[in-house]
Amino acid sequence: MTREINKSTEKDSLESVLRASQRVETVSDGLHKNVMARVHNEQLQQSNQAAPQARRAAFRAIPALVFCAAALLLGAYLLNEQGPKPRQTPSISDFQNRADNDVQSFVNLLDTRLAQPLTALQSLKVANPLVQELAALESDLDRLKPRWPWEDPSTEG
Amino acid sequence: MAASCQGDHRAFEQLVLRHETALYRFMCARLGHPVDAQDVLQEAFASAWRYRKSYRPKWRFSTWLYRIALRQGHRERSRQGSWVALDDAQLMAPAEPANQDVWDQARKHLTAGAFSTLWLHYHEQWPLSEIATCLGRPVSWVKVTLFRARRKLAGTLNPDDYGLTP
Repeated sequence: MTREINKSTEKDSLESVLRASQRVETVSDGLHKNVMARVHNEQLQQSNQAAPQARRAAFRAIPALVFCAAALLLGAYLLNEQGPKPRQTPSISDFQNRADNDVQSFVNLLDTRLAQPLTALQSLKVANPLVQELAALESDLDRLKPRWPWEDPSTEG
Repeated sequence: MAASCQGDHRAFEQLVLRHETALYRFMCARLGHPVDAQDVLQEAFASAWRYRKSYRPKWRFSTWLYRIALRQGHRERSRQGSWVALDDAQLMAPAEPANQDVWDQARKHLTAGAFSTLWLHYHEQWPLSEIATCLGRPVSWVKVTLFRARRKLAGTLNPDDYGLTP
């Protein structure tokens, strides 16, 4: 316990000595001027370096620009020589012919498609006895239907 | 500092005026020689101007500046070390002042990091977190270093000379 108290006191006294012993060196006016001159010099150096840096960057960019231009020219030449020929612009008569052909082909297709079921239905109608019988009944009914005298075909003439 | 980042020379001069004395004292105590401290001070402010665009507002300017100065101090030390090795080191060594204060003793007996930690904590009264940021170390390292530095310094100082409790 006593040792801890001693240690604590020792620490406190050392800390107080460290805090109390402040250095008193001051920056002289000359030193301050030197510092600012050094900073100003640095500023001048930076501004002087800026222009050559930009020039160097521009010179460094020249080969890249030349290469890009050459690549573009070569690409354009190759496209012109080996690429597909440009398509001719169709005239108005081409459009008209094409439209006529399209309409005609559509009509033909429609006829074909419509003709098929009609033909089938007609053949079915002729072949089916029920249909024939129904047609006979229809004619009988038509015959038995009361008619006005002027409508009766037997009294005609 | 925002104005300085835009290249305002006057605003930067205000920053120099505000921080140069404290930084100069720190460098004098750390390097032990006023001429070296003056060189480092000039280089530190010149570097701060050069790299002003890399400054982030989340840092305190003093933390950033001291970090630059510490780096310059290391560079100065290594440059001097290589130079002194070629010549007679005894002739080139600066004369030690007769009455050394506690900081001179600390510089002699502590490592550079421990000395900086002790100085920034007791002389500049920085918080531990700022010291950690400045030295690029965790806060726990700062605490441990402070404790060890105090213990080592207490062991080396003569209690009668500095009024320490025996």
